[in-house]
Amino acid sequence: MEALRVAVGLAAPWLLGYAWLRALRGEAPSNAWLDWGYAQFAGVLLLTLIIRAVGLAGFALSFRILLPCVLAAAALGAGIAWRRSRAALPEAAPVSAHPHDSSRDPFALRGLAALVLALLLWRVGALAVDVVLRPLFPWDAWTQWATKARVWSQLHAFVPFIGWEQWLTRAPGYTDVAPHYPATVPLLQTWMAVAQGRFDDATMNLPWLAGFVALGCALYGQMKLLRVGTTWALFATYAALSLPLLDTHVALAGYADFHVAAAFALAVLALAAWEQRRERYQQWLIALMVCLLPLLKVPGLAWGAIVVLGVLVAKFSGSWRRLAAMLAGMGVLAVGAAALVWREKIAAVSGGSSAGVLGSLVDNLFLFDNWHLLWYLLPIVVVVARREALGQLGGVTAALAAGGAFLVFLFTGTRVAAWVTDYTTVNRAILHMAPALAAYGALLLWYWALARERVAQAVATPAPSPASAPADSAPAAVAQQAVEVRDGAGQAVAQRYGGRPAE
Amino acid sequence: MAPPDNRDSFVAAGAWLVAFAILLVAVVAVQGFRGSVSGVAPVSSEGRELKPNSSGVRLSGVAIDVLNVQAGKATLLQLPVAPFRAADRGRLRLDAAPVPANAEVAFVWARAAEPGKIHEQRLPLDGDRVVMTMLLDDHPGWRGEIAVVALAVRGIADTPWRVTRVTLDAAGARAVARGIVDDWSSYDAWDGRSINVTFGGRETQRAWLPLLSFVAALAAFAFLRLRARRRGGSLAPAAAVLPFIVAWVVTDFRWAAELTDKAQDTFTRFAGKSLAERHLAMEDGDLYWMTERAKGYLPDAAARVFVGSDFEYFRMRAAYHLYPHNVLPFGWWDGKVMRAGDYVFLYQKADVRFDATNSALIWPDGSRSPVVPLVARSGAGLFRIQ
Repeated sequence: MEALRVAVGLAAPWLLGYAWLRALRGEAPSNAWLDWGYAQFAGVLLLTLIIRAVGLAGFALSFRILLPCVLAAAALGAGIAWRRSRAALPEAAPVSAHPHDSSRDPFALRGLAALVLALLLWRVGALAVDVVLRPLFPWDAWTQWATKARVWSQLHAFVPFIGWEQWLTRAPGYTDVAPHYPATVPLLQTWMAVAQGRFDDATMNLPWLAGFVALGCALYGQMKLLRVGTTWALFATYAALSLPLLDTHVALAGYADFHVAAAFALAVLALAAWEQRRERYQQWLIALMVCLLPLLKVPGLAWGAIVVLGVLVAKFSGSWRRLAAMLAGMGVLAVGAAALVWREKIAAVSGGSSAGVLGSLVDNLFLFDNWHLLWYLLPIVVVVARREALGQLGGVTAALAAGGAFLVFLFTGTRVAAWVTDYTTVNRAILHMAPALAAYGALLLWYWALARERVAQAVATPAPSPASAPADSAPAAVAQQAVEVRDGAGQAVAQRYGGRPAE
Repeated sequence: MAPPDNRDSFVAAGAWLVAFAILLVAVVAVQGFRGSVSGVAPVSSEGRELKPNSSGVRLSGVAIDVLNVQAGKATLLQLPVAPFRAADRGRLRLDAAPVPANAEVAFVWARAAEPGKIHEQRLPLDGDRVVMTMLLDDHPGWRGEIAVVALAVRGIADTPWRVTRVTLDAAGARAVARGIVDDWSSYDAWDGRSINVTFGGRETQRAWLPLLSFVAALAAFAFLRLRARRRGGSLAPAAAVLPFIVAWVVTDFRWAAELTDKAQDTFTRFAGKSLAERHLAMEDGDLYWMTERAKGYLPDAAARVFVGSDFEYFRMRAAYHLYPHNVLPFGWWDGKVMRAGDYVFLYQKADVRFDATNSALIWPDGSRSPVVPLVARSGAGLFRIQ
């Protein structure tokens, strides 16, 4: 019976997220991997909003109240999805509109798909043992996150957490070391505890394992939607999920950082898809993940803003003046808002010495196995595929560059520098970007390889003789290839087609 | 540009493997050269020859049994050895029984140039808590003339640790090679600290696997590119990325093995147990037992509980176990902030005393709070303020 309740606790928010994603999706092209993957995180957002509403309305946080609310919300989403699907006209599949030909797979490496799939399954199995069996273990998990879950789930009330100075004045409320932290993660644990019927500080962290699987599904689904070959889509998923620090945050579940990293990665992937396909569904996915980020952890506000920046760049990159004006406006707004909202926090972290930061960063990025080869390979990929980075994925590149700049500022311009040199925060801050960067690198490489293949094919295609070819056919062929030509191949094409330079 | 066929894939993987092996051999040869040719005799002592600094030791034939009994202090076992050059002896080998749970062992030494400064290196243990061979020559403090060396045993274990022989000898090429593999395959159990870093084996290593894998991939890539040019073609994207994929997967194999080892440890400790039994099997099992006992004396409604301990870990952990009672594990120092009806939970709090005659807690500043003792045990107790 308890196992069934735990299963319902895991499945209900997932279904809730799925129902609403289907409602938002309408007839937009997607796939089951993508929908179910994003559904987990959309479900976390909607579930915790429902619990907040129930708690703030003064109702008990009990399974008997929460489950019907969740199911009703899921039914509402499913109803809207059903109505939209009935109302929609049959739509031609937009496959032909897509610029990439799925039949070509420059990374069709035999056996790689099976290998990485086996490694992923092995990974999930190993992580599951720790998530299911080990009671809450890492420091922050039980000093500042699960403290709230324990109180809310056992009192069945959304009681406030206050600072200890206030607590000593006998003000009503509880305290822990981080009473001001966002409630989403403890509410997720609260939900699992009330679903199970008791506070079990191992099984309440099953959403971390579910999130790990869902992140994999969503990454793979987006890659497939972007017409990345199966082998490379699987490898990209594997690359993101194999990052040791990410895995550790799942095995020793209970921190918010895994969910922040996953939500940011999924927002970035949706942005990449939107840049390519301009579908409203992807906008919805971005919006949901951007909403989730600040509700998970305070830095999520910055990560959300960074995604919005990427959206603006993708939207207005055709008009650099408008873009520059918008970025300047956003910058002023961001600085002003940060000065107002985070005045105390900024004062607390401002200043600090950056001595030793570089050495510590080198250790953590390149020597220790926090990130496998991510930081070796990413710069190479960005340089090699710079045209794709600035062209097809310009918005994503801008967002990730802004994220990188944000971290560099934190590590060198604030007191966070001290947490870099003693290894306490450096990797957790980087973790928020890491899966997104791994997926981005894989996507860049895919586009670069496709472009190279096209150029190679153009070079290899027998050229019509100038006498027999129609007068405008050669320039037309060049024009079709012009966007992708590079690395000296442009000259080859130009020579073949009578000296017309490739643009 | 067709994707590489099986042969190309094997060539790419083989090129990476060869490059990796060459790099590894190069590191081993450079770092193990001196030890292999120096011919310096090892120094070796039986357990009974070690000089202890406390009475918590017992001779057992040629071996010595060590049982540290003082929290916060270490039992030292000094090797009877004359000063020697660090460069001559860079490998420590121990013939010893598995280190008991709750005990921690380290190798400590002092240099002749700075006699007051103690250097320390924790002894690496394998999954069965057996001490593994340790190389010292890459430790920044292992240089110049070494004046004193000793083993340090910390923590209070239930059973003694038996040391039969300690040997210090030269770190030759074979020892360096074994040391590198040990560095990569040394899987510590999960610890309860904040999740900040995964080292990929030992915290200090002679050759870091990600770096070595990447350099090998670069070399393999260069070879494949050269090979393609010689054949008059260009390198297909798939062939170009293959060495880097191999490097990533090999690095990940190590991590997967470490994760599996950790999962096995978790399974062995916790499988088939109830939640309470699992908590009792954790590092803070005694504290958990004490808080569960204390909860039995607290009212059903949430009580205000002041939690005190000299150790932040115990304070915070006790508070976590005592929720949903309204606990405060920090920000208070004495009874002035308490009122009648509040509770005080103390665990390993040396500067607070219980006056049984007057039933009062005496705080570090000498002030007193009249209390009713509810649970009392050596080093721990729950009290209600009167």
